Formats: sequence, C-alpha cells, structure tokens
Amino acid sequence: MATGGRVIRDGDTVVAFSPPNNTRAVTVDAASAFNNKNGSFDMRDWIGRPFGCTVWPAKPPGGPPLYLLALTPELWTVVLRHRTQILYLPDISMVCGFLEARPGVTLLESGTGSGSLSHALARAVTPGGHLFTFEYHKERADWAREEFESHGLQEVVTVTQRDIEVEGFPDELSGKAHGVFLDLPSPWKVVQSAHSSLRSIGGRISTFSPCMEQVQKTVERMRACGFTDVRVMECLARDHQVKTVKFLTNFTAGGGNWEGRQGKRARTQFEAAKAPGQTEGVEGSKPTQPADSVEGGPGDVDAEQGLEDEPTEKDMCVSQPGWNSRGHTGYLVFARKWVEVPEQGWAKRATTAAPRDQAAACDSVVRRTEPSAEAEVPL
Amino acid sequence: MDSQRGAVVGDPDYIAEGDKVVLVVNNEKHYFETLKAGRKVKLGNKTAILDVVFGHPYGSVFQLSSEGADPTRVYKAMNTGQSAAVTEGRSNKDLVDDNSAQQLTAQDIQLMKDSGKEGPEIIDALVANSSTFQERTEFSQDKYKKKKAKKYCPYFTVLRPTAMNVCEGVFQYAAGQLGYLRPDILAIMLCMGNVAAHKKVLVVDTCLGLLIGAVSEKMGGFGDICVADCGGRRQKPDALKKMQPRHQNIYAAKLSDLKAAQEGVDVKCAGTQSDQPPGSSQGAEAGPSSAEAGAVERWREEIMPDNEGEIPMEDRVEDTQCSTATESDRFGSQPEQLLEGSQRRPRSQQLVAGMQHADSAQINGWAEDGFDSCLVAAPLHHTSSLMQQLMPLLKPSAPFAASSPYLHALVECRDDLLRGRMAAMVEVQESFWREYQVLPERTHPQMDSKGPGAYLLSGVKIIFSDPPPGSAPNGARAHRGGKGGRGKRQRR
Repeated sequence: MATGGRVIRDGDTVVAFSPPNNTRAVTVDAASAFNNKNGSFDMRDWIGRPFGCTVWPAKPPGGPPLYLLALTPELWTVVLRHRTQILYLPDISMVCGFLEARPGVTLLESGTGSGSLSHALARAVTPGGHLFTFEYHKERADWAREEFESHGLQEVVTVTQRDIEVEGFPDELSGKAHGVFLDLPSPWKVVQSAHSSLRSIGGRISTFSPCMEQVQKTVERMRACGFTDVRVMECLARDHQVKTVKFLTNFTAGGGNWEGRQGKRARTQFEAAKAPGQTEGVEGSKPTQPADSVEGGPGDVDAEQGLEDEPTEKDMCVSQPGWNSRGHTGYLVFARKWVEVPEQGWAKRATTAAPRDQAAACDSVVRRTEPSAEAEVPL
Repeated sequence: MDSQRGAVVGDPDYIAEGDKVVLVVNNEKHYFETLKAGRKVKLGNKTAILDVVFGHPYGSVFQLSSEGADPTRVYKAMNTGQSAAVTEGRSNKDLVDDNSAQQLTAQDIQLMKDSGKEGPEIIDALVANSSTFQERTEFSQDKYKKKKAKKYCPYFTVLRPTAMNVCEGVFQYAAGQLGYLRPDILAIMLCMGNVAAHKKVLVVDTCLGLLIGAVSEKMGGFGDICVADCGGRRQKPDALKKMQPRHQNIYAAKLSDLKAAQEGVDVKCAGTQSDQPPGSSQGAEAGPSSAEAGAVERWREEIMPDNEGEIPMEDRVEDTQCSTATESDRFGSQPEQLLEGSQRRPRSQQLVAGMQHADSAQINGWAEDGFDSCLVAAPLHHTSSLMQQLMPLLKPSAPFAASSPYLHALVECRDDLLRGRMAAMVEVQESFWREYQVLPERTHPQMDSKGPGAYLLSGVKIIFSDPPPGSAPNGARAHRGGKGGRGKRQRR
C-alpha cells in the first residue's frame, strides 16, 4: 500500500479528493485526463508530485482544486466499488480491536465481499501474519484478488473461492487461526467449523449480522459449540458538521419580522447598518475571508473599522450532528473459544513453569515454547 | 504442541509468574495484577493467592469458591442461562418484596461458610429456603441464581493485558483520566491513524499512556513510536504500566526539539537557543542529554514515599477537570491495582519501563522524513494549537486523529485546519456503542450504558499550493479542503 511522503508514479492508485465530499480512486495514467464535475485534470502533471499534493484543473482554469491522497484502508472503504454491502469504519475498528488482530496472527474471513474489512485486517496482521479470506462468488473473489495485488497485499492475503456455509473452512487450516470473522447470511451454520479452525488457546470469533434473528441463532450455536464470553454489540459513528454561524447580537436594529410590508423597510435599514463586507449566511460564507487573516476574530474586524455602532452579528464556529449518519449497520458478535485442556499433566506444568522476564520475552524474536518444552501436552 | 505453533512473537500462551494480567471477575469487573508467587490478591469481595494459575493457558477461568482456598480451574464451559421454557401461570403477582421470603439469616450463611460449605451449596440452601423461589418464572429463577452465584462463587478469567482489555478496565473507574477514551473510540482512532507495523507514529498522550500502549500493540515492535512531550503536568503511566508494550521502539522527544530540528536547527544546539520558552527544558544550557531528559521525565512513574496507598494527585487546578472526586476516591480505595506493589526505586530510575530518549540523529531523521501518522489524546492541551504545531511534522498525506472529551475543542481545531488549508477530509465524529443481552426470549439492549466517550477528529494532511499563474483566481479562494456538507448558502 502506498505510503505518504512518496511521489506519485505512473500506474499508482491515488485517492482524488475534491471538497467538500467527492472521493474517487484513480489509477494514474500519464496519457489521459481525470475528469470530475469540477473540471478536467491532466494526469501527466501528477507524476513526480508527492502524495497529499494539490492539483488544479487544466480546464476550466481556476476551477476548484483536487487533493491527491495516498491509499489507506480507511480511504479504500470510502472509495471502493460496492459489489456487496460493506462494513464501515466503526464496525471495522471494533473487529480489529476485539479480534485482537495484531502483527503475526492468522485470521480467517468469510465472505470477502468488497474487501472493505479485508484491507484493515491485512494491515493489522502484517508482518508475519496472514489473512485467509473466502468468497463464494467467483467474480467477486477474482476482483478482490486483483485489488489486493494492485495494493501490494498479495503476500498477506489469500483469496479463495469457496462456499463456506456449505463446505466450512478447509481442513488444512484446522487449529491454526487466531481469529475468525463471519459476514454471511447464516453464520450459525459455520460456527462449528470456525471452532475447529481456531487455535486451542486464544481463539476468537466475530460475526456481523444485520438482523437480530441471525444473531440469536448464532449466539445459541456459539454457546453450544464451546465458545464463551459471548458479547453482542453495535457501534455507530455520528458525524458532526462544523460551520460558522452568524448570530444576531443587536436586538434593536432592524426587526419588524412580523410587520408585513413595513418589515421590509426595516430590514433594508438593518442590512445597511451591518458592517461592510459582512454577509448573511451560514456555512460557505467563511471563504470570503482570506485564509491569512483568520487569526483575528470577527470582533477585531469591527474594531479595526472603527464602527461606532455595536456589531449586529457575531460569528461562532459551531457543530451540529450530521444528517446522514447511519442508524443501524449490523450487530457484532464476539466470543472466545473455551480453553479446554485436560486436567492431567497440568499440575506438573504449573510447578515447573519457571518465572520469566516478561520484557525479555516480549523483545525476543524467538518463537515461544513456553512454559517447559519437555512436558507433553495431552491434546 | 500444536497449539504453540504459530504463537505470536512476544504474546505468551501460558500464564507465568511476573506476567502482567487482567483478571476479569464475573465477566464484569477488571482487576490488574502483576503475578507474583505467594501474593494475596483482592478480587471482588474475596482475597486469594493466585499461584495456581501459573502454567495454565491465557483465557482460563478459575472459581473462587471459599475464602482462603486456592482458586480452582473451571474446565467445563459454564451454562449461561439457556432455559427457554416458561411454565404458564407463574408471575410476580403474589410476590411481596418485604425481605421476608428468605428464611436464612446472615448468621446462618456465615455459619455455613465457617463450616467449610462451598459456594454452590450455599446457593442451593438459599434457593431451598426462599419461600418464593418456586413461584418465580424460569427466567427469574435463572436471574436469581446468577445473582447469588456472583456473590457466593465468583469466578475470574485470566486475560492478556491487551489495549482493549486495559482500556475497558481502566475506563470503569478512571474514565476522566483516560480522557474518556472508550475502547470503541480507541479502536476507531487506531484505524483512522492508519497505525501499522513499520510506520513512524507521532503520539501525544496525557491519558495514562493508554494510547502509547495501544499503538505499540498494533505495531508489534516494528517501526518507531515517538512520544512527543508537549509540556503540561507530569504524566502517570498507570494504563501503560498495566500493558506489555513492545518497548524497544518507543522513544520520547520534546516537541520543541522536534520543531527545532524541523526548522533546520541542529537539535544538538536546541538547548542553547535563546528563544526557548522558559521552563520548557530545565537543562537549557546543559546540552542535549538533559534537554531530552525532560521528555521521559514527564512520563516518570511517581510513587510518593510518604503516602503509600494513595495515588499522588497533582495539585494543579486542571487536574480536577478530568478526574472527578469520585474517581480519586475510588483510586484511593484500590491502591493495589494502581501502585502495583511498593517498588521504590530512586526517582531518577523511575522511568516508564522501556521508554527511551530519542537521540538527536533520530529527531533529525524524523524531522526530515516526517511521521506517517499522528495520534493525539491530550484533553487539556488546546487541540487546535497543538495540531498547528504537529501538522508540519507529518508527511504529506499522513492521516491523523485526535480525541477529546470536549466537542468544542475539536470543532475549533477542524475549522482552523481547514482554514489554514493544512488538511483534507477533516471530520469530527462521536461513537455510539451499545451491548445486548442475547438469551432465548430475553434479548434486549444491556441496561447499563457505556458512559460518555470522547469525540474524535480525523483527517489527512495535505500540501496546499496556489493555482498555476494565469488561471482565474475567482474559484480558488472559495474552496476549502474539507467536507463542508452542503456548501450552498441557505436562504429563506
């Protein structure tokens, strides 16, 4: 995956962000142009510039700019082509957190879908770990594989076309996974297979389902199959729109809001009383101020102009919850594989286990064979 | 030994003496412990010596049955109230809540305990002596037994101190000191910051070191973590101490040194700059080593020798904003968890385990290359001013995230970043997190709420450049690098 600080090369995937909220993934092709509703951009100019740069349209000249950003899993979630319903940031974050995805672990995922979560999981397990992701739809599996390759993740992710609900996870992965994530129509059908794919120690499962009925069946199955600490949760993000609002501070000037035609005259007087250059409006009115002069607040502007009258309005930067935040995405279920180890032999291990220097253990690059290698584990 | 194959480097599968662990009692309350043979540990209303857990795998569950006895490992998965059948006609119609239903007195129960009766037997006795138990619905009976089990036979799970576990546990009793960094916010923050192995991450953390530990866990020991010292009060790394950070790559550096290095001043000379704000480095004339020392100093473990058993609260006024009286009371009542024994080393050695000073070569290197990512959790640092300082240290296109319990701080910061055209896709969001009880016929959201979480600001650094000469300037000024929502002016 491209990192910041590098320059853009021909063939790179960049995220073209056009304020306020237009985002697209673009594969740089020096021979062609990128067009959006704001204009036409010559991609030849992009090459050699750093990621994070500003580019301006060739036509119309002076049109709004475009920012070229390096791809991250989060940006990919925003720009990817939706082949299926996808997972969004809060759910992705919770899965990465509660599945304890970290460098070195092996994770299984089904289905791959549009690869929104897969990118974040692949990032989390690198280096040393691996993500095996399964998708029953052939074309979707192929597309995902292509995308992982073009993002340089082919070493970390293996995409396999397989109907997990019918066939379960492959036997060769049995006992190998640290975590399994299921986003399937009937996750309860796969719980048993997921259980046997997980390591006997520290295995975690997670599922994502939009409907509570799916969750109920899945949870029941998890409890029956030897999972414990089952947690069901939902996590939603609500965005806050930020804007600068002009609030009325002079309650005597102008007025006459309810006085019909007379009110119009009063309003005209009110407009005239306003400081020159001050315009009414909410967001979007800010840019009329040059960016360099923002240090001084609106109060300073009035003071400089030496107005005798009180200012009639006051700028305030405020926030308001966004209109299009999601009310529901899906329920996340997390559970831990019950650690079942026969009792015999463990008393001995407990006594022979030598105290260890934890710090040294953490830093060691040698794979652990704790606590005592000679004792046979009766599994 | 199949289970050990594929073990993650540095993440032990088996519990051993000296390990830092999270003990979750009754799946509810988190206790933090550094395991030591023979040490008595208070768990809920019981004390126990935990030597029996050594050698068992992480995730094992132990029962605390009777006072003074060793905890016993639970091997059979516990039933969590699966009964779906409900006998018709039972209800709480005839239930009178006057505390007369239970025939056993506290003395009776104490007698049973004294005579060595185990938790399950006491619960059976309570059930048998409750005159109303049989009239309850099966659901209600389940609930009754569960409630009694929590009291008379608590169990605990031994977990590794992952960032999520520690965050969840510390949030229960010191949310204010964590800057209301709830586990969901922490998880989102790590994603938004694109934290991964082999990155260079700039971290500002005044929230008990939780963020440093979480970043370290995500990076698995690969790449650099630069903990920027941005002044303010001395930090207590209470959360960081509970984790097992991969400390070989955590470095502390003063923000002023990073800034100086970036402005082309050789950081070795930074200490002699006359324009250094007074007090920013106590060793201003004494060369680089002492100038850098301040950075780690701020993260020093502080254990007051004269008031053991009480967390030293800073006398600065700001402190009260983030830690309420109740929290400090609760801190006071749980001294063992926080102080982790009475290690008393000379002050100069009481540095956060493993956090080292960045040397001038590193600082110059970071200043030259820039950081890949920046995460900020510093509720009492003015977010906007801090971000203005930090942004130049990042690589272009580097994502950043800042959390704050105060929406207004982030709102202002977003406005300033966009107006200064320093960042794009700057968003302010909050997270809603709710858990559910899922049981046959009894599925509903959990009654208890998660508590207030911090707000989160995220964005991507950009380099703004003016349009090429000759193009009409009209549109140029009117476009800000952010999601302004509907950009049209609203008219009546």
